[in-house]
Amino acid sequence: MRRKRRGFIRGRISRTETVISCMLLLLIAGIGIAIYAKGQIYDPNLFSLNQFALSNTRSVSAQPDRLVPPEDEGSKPSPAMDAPVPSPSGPLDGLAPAGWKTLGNVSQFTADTLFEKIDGRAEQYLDYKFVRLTCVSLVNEQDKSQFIDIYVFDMGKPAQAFGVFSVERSDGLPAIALGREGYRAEASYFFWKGRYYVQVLASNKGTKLAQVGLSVAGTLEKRLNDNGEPIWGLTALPETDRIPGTVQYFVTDAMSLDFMKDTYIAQYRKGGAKVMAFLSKQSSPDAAVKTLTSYEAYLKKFGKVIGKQETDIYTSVTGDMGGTFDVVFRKGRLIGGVSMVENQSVAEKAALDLLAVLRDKD
Amino acid sequence: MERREFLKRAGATCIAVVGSALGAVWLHDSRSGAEYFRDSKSKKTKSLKSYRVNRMKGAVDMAIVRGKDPDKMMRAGLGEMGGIGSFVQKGDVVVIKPNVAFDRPPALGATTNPDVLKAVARLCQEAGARKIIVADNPINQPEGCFFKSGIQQAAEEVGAEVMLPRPSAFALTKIDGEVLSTWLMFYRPLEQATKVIGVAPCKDHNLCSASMTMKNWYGLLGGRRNQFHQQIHDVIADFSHMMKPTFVVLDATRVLMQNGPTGGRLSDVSEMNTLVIGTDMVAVDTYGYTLFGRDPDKLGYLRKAEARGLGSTKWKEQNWREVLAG
Amino acid sequence: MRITHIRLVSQIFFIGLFLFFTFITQFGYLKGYPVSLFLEADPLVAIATAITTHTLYRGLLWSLVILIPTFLLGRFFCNWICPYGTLHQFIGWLFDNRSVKERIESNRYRKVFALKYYILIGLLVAAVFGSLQIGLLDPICLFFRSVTVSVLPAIDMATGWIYVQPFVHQFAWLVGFLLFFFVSMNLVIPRFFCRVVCPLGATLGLLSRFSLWRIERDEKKCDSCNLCLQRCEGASDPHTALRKSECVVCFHCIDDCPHAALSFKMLPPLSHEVTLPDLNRRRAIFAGLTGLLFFPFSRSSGDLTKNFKKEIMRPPGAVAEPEFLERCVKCDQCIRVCPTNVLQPALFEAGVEGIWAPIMNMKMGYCELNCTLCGQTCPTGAIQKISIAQKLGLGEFAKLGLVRTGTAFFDRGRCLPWSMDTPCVVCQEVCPISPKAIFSREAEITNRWGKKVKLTRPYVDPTLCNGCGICEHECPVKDLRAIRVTAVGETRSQERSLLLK
Repeated sequence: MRRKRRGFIRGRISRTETVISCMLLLLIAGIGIAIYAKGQIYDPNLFSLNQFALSNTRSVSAQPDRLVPPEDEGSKPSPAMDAPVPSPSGPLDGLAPAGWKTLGNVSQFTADTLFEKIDGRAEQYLDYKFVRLTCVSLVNEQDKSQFIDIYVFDMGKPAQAFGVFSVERSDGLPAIALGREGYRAEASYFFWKGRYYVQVLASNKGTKLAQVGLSVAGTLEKRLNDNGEPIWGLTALPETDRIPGTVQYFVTDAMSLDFMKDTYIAQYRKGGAKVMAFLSKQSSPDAAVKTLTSYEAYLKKFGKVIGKQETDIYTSVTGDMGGTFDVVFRKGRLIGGVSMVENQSVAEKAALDLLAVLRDKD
Repeated sequence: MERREFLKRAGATCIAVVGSALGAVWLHDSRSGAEYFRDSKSKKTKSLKSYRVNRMKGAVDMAIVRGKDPDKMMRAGLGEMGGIGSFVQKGDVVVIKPNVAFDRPPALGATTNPDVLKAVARLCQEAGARKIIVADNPINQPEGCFFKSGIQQAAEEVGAEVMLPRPSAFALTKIDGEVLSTWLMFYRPLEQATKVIGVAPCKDHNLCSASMTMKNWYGLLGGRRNQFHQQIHDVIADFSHMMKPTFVVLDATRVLMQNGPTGGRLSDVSEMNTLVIGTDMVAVDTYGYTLFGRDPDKLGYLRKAEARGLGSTKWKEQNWREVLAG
Repeated sequence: MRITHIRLVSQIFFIGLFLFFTFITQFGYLKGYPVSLFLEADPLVAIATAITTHTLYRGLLWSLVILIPTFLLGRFFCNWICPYGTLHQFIGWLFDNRSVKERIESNRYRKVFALKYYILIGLLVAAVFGSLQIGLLDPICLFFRSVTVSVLPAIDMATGWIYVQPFVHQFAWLVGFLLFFFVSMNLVIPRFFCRVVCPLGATLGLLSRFSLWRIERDEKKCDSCNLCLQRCEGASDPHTALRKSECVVCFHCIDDCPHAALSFKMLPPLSHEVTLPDLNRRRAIFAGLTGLLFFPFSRSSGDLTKNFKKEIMRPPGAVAEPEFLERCVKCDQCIRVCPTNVLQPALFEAGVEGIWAPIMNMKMGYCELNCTLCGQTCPTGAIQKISIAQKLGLGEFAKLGLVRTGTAFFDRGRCLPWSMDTPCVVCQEVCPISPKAIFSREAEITNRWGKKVKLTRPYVDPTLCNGCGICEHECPVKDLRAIRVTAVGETRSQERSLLLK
């Protein structure tokens, strides 16, 4: 090898150099950690289909004339393959699969008697205009310690069923294609369909129990009718950038504010930040003005109002709550905005985006 | 080092840093894919205005003229309808839209008769038109079509300007039809136009049965117009919604009776020595269809246009005249 | 803690990070990792796409993180971060058998180093006219493309660690050869690519003129021993007047000077250095002219308009073709992340401007219906980030309709039920759209032996077909499929649409 080691290498390293070197090492380590952390945050819908979008494939919507000759006299294309399944009389009858049996009878509870079954939790359902609870228990004949309780809450209207479903749901639970929306917690299943909110509760965890629960839930789901009535808030709140499974409907005390009633809340991902948006259709424009005034008073009391804009279409107020920002607007009888956003410009832009989408929907 | 040089260099660096940061933020495009495609669909479009004129109550709206001299025929026909002066005034910029779609000599009846074009142009000049533009977007090669159909020469003889369909002359235009919402149109002739006159030959057509004054406006469109054939009758009805001309002339001096719209043999053509002038394209085409010996009730685009209120097939019940001219 | 050691740590970190990103840009591993980070931070990608599109796409804002420190420190990117540069330096070091004197000679400045500036000028002028070709030679794009198309498949052949089912890429041999060529040229001139070819280095070199900190040689202490040239990575002549546009801030000269005559100082006098690269004005204009003429010469070959090839099916979410060529930097990230191997680097199918840009080849794969990974990784927006709902035309996108990348056509002469009296319809079976875009009609025929055979004969419904190509991919007539998808009916371009409505 002709290669020779070089003779000299600088000896004295100044303090500045050492300090800067240390800082650079820390910077490199920091970059590595930041990249790893970023790697764990991702939208699972990148790798699967958004369940909301799938709901569009349910009904037989009006298909445009496909491959029909120009002189379209008469011949219509044959209807698509899926048609709604008819539901039998008693939805909770005969749900027990092989090896299981019904424990006792199917029972029913009204608004007056609900508390007998579920104690203090009844209040929440009553807030959402609960009508009737039908429930039954199934038990495993081989192992009597395994049972499944089925609760079908008739909430009167789809919006109410959605509401109570959404406020009971916690983050991060895997979504399940049952009803209009559903999720699984261990071996228990929760979904809403039409005006019904259904809980299929398992006694313990376990794959076998989860499978039984799923088949029971699936059978029950097919028996429940859905009149297809759309939920105003689910369509009014824009879908772009919306984090799936985060829409909630509060009858009262939305965001812990007592003046925020009948409000829909959803989480959005705007760029890297998470933004909570809210929307409420008040009973009249005057009621909306009142709500806006209450909100503004709340902003003044607990923070600072840093901006107000009034045009002949909308009024908006921006508040600095000490570290986070709220932007609330009134348009006609709609109250909406964003809350607890860390970045002011992100908050204002998100609020304007929401306002813009509402332009036609007053 | 001198403070001045230091400031100059440090200042230059500062400007570079701040400039690039500001530039980056200013140019930043954070649209999602959904927004990008929505934006690209909503492009700026041009609109078409109506070129119709107000007609006096009881005026004759359609004239069927028989004769051998197109010039005399046009004068006679328009004379019945109130004279050219009731349509074209001093200072008007008139666009005459003939059919120059194919690379054919006039005798084959696939294009507008150049003598009819000259007659219309001369009348417009007499009425005081400032400029006359002859424009069409042919299917065959433009230069060849204008030359061999005789339209080029006819335009030169009357001093009209021929506008060829260069790519820069097209613009996305709002049509708002049932099938066509916006489409690329040969817009430049219409930019300056105050009056538009359609002069269409009367031709058999293999797909839509007959190409007359409504179908004539196909020649103003560009882009992928070869897709119109998928819904041809609705599209032709859309044409009569898109274009509201001052008046139209159905050039039935020679009628292409079969093998249209291109024809190719003299035996395909019948000398009918007729011109139909009118303000309602649906009415003119209804009459024109009978020249083939066919039943207008069976013609899809006429029914569709009438159903949409774009014209009337019941020309007999309206104000029309038949004239014999020299 | 010597600064050169920290630099080495940084180089190893970033090349490791780069290779890590190439490895995990794959369905199972991707998660939320910012795999496009190097491309988004690449200032040349940002500047060139800003020139062609007049916007700075989303993540390209990261380029400021490299650009602003360049204004302060010079071409530190080249020797602290650039993974391709690290590769060249490593190979050069590994195979170096020069003596000290030979090494000093090899690191002197040569006139040929001006070539990268001419290349840059040509590329930028072409960009002004809307043809983005920087991706051919940009080091990050080039390296990512080479790893995706040639290196990873090679590793997978040996170990099987990369893919579940092996991926192949068109003309991988060409890309591999170019990588090999540039890397082996380091044995002739150290850091050959960085010094002679790299347009990103040229960009950063031109911008170094603003940098506050520069290598300064103290003439009183210096005895012209030239030892500082031993390991000078940029060949920037620190022994005389430093060529600032070539200096890559490796700090080797400071380490090697026995007289401590070199230091990294803020705003040293400009008289001690050569700030701007040594360019011949006429040659620069000639380079510009090449870039200028490239655009009309390539566009008038008609590959975008009249003579567009049926093979040019772009990924779903791709923008219309002229905009696509303004944005695609041929990094091939989409090709890497595509789970089915359908995306391939084109050669001349889209004309000379489209070399190594992605096209779909249905023989090799198909476009998975519920997948939009290509758009998620594209750093420049040549493929837009669309959601799966938008791709399928569901939910709020129902009015906009589904995204079509092409349309399938039957070749009835090859189709088994159509011309060979044999039942099949695999195509209909695998069509993922509901209702299916391939429908069928029953036919009963009498075959040549007199037996009655019932055949299901397939047809394409062009209103439903989105051009995903799984029908072509699964067709059993493997040599030339009986159903083939071609580039018509694309929703990204009105010019290439098939149906009126």
